[in-house]
Amino acid sequence: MTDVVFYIFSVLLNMSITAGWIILVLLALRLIFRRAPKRLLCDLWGLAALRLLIPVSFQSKFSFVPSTQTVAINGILEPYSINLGFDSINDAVDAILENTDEFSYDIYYWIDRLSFTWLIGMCVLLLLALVSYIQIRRSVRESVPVRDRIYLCDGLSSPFVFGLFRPKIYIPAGTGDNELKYVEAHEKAHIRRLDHIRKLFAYLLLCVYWFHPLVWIAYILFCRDVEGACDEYVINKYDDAQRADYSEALLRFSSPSKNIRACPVAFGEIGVKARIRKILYYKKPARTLIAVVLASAALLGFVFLSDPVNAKSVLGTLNAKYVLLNMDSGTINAELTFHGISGRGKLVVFAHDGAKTIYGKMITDTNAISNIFTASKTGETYVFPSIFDSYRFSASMSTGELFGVLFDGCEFFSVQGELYADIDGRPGKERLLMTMNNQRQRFLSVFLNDGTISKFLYEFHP
Amino acid sequence: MSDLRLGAVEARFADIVWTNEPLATALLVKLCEKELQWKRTTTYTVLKRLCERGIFRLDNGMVTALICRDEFYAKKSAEFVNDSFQGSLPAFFAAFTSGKKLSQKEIDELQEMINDLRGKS
Repeated sequence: MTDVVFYIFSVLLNMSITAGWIILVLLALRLIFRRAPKRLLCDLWGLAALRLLIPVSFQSKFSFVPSTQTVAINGILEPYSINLGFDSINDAVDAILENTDEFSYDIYYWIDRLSFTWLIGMCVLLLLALVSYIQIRRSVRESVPVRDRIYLCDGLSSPFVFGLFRPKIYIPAGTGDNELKYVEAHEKAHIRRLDHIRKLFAYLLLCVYWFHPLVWIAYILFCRDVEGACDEYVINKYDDAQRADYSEALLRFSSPSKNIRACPVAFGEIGVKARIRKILYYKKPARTLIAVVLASAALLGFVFLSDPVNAKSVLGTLNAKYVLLNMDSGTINAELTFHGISGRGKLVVFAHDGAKTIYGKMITDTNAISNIFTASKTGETYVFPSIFDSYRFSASMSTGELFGVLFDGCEFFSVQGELYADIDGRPGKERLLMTMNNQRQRFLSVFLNDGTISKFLYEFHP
Repeated sequence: MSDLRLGAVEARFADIVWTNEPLATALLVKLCEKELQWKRTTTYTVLKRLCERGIFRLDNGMVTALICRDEFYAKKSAEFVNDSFQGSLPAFFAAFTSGKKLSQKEIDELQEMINDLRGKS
């Protein structure tokens, strides 16, 4: 169960970081295109929402998204297995890897913890919305029909729309007839633009991504833009006198801003001062401006909705390579060098004779030249490969044995590892390249020889 | 002593009761449903509340008014004048009619009311 929560949370974490980029750009755009019609801005917010919603996207060279998998995830829900092409060898190596697989890198430990917190936070927010919805539903039962879909209700400070499928407009007592005209126009515009559905959707996204501060900012600004777009829609055909009346009505119902509420937002609650200013100075936006904004939106969409090429899918990966050595037996000398800066990794070398692990040892001493003979399990501290680190080890390997190196690395930086192996000093250097870029990768390099293959295939066929 | 609070929606409900009282709750529910589009539970909730305020009474399925409509609004106005104008009726009139001259008809009506009061005391 916790595995599933961790997995979902990690996926969401990555998605939210990706969406964070687009939100930042939207914030900048919003500042630049202050005079643009708000309804376009609302649609731009839709782009961000899209990125928050869909884990994968089409890949394009022009993607500005730095990485879709900032926090690398291992497919922990999948059984840990590799395919080297030979069943029995696969099984043997699998068995070793199972013993060495340990899920305790610090960062993943923290994500594991946090994922539970995330789940609680989401449930709390959803619960709050549910409670609020029930309370409001209860209060608006005591309402009196006025006309159309408008109802009078006690105890309201400003009018609002409530109801998802058959939205109704609720007004407080003492609303003048003139005011009612404008209130009605505004709220009906909301309904026509399906704002009540949009806002609900936005709130649901907020519940899921509550941990990301940019998503909160986006939600607040989105609510503002929705109101602004509604105002624009309404006053489009108004003359100056009507606009003044409309602003008065807004002012009359404006109340000090309350907490962010999930469900209906009342008539005068959001950003009243700015809205009135916009209403009074409203001018139809120039066609060129609209065109520019639309073009930016299209560009933004293409650039931020696409994933960077070669972005690994959100699931984790294991790379396994094997090298067939041309030898019967001898001493294998291996050197593993790292270039670049890495976080932390786990290095395990092992040898298997087809029946049992001869040895498997985690390298802990960065300068160790180790001769590995005894089997030992995990529990050691981790390796900190850093720039120019190299690990040398040697082991004697006979026919029919395999020798493997597993590097389990993670973190956010780039590491390249090279494994050189030569046999008895013979310059038969086999080189396996492992590259990690902002990903958690596991690299398994297995050296085997002819004898190994025949032994595994024919003698120890499971 | 009854609580004289009555919201706009509650007033509509009270009007239905005052117009039709005494009436059975079943009938009240039907009327509220027709005129206010209220559910049964809503009607009962509001009725209970107004009973607690001492305006109506529910007894054996019959709803009666403890205080009739005119009396209620008279008391409410008195309360309003008390609270806002320290009980001074002249002050209330002055505020109410400030900026407007009273028509002769209105003056005559007022005079008649004052005479009645004098006659009573």
